[in-house]
Amino acid sequence: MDTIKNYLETMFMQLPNTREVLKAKAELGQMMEDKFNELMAEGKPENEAIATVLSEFGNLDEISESLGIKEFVNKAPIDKRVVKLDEAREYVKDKTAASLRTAIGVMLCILCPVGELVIGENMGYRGMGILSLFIILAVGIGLFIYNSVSGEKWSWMEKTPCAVEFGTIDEINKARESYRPLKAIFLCAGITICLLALGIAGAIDEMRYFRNIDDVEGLFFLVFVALGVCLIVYGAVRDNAFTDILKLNDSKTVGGNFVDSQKTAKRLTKTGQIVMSVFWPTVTCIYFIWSFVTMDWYITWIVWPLAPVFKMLIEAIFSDTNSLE
Amino acid sequence: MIEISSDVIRGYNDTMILYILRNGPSYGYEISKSIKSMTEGKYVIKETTLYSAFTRMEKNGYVESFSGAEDRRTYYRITEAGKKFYEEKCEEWELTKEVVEKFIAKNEESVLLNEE
Repeated sequence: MDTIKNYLETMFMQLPNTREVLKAKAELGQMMEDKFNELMAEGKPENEAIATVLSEFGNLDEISESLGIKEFVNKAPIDKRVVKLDEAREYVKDKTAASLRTAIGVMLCILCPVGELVIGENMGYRGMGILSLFIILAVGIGLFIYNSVSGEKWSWMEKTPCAVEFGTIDEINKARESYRPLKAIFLCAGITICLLALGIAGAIDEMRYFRNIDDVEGLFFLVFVALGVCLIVYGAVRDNAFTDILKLNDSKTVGGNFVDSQKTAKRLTKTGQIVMSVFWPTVTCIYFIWSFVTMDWYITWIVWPLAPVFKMLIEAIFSDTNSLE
Repeated sequence: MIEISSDVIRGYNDTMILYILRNGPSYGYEISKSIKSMTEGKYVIKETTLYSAFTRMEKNGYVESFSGAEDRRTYYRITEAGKKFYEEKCEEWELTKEVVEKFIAKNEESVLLNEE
């Protein structure tokens, strides 16, 4: 039955996502299912039943007129680059690794004053402290740079119009579904750690063992916040690996109708795309300028959890509501 | 083996469907199964042909569709206009058959021609 379903889905992939088309797909699917079930009940081998159903399906040309899809059916098999299953898998793999680097990079940016606090403030090696701060920063930023350079490999996906076949969509969608619980765990754990950060740090400050260390509260606070933010960022960003692929099909076609997120997927206007391309570098800049000018490292990390909120806001402002492309 | 000409049969898909619907409402696969069994498997209607006939006839008011009470299937029932259309198609076929028949060489004739 999967073969039949795949066949039908593939046939309808590029058709517009209208009520008539969806109705036709549902009814044709039902007829094929009925026929398949009856052939199986008659004791036919499965592959023979599938072959019969597929050979008796007919041609979409026949229903194109009544569906108002004539131009779609006769259109040459798309001017789009089809992303193959292997490529999709590799993309997900690459982006998963990249999201881990992003998360660690963010964590290091938040953690960078820790070395200064321990070596500089407590041990008195000011110079070493500042040096450690820059080393941690450099590693963090290095991860960001590495990501953007290695991400170039996939830039064609944004530049050329792409499409994905049903089989690919199906597999990636399943992978995303199985990641969903893990994502929930990452986000929950991350948020919990952030919320508890203050409490835990305060409790640690009370402990006798750390009494002789200066500003131990701020230190642990930073560590916990960094860990929490790291988990949140990883959980959220990793999901993009799947949705990037799933979003490739035009949401106006049946093929773009597999994922709920697709229905609400925002298309950005040209201005929006430009703004978004400099978003994360800008956030990083704001963080450092604020941090170095005020030296209020204990609070400047707030930039990171706030950034996604602003990202959503910007995306909402620049979303292209009447994108006909 | 000789297969049925899709060009000729195309004009009579509606007639077959309406004939079946005259016996009561039905749905896609059941109709295609009836056509297959009534023609002893000589004509198997394609799913897309069937569906395009449904939508066309529904637009012309010959059939009405409704959802099944227990299943998700779309059922069709014939309307008064559909019954009238069916009668017309029957008459049309009688005429067509009569005309074409005059040009069909009977077995003995063709044998005769071959011998000459």
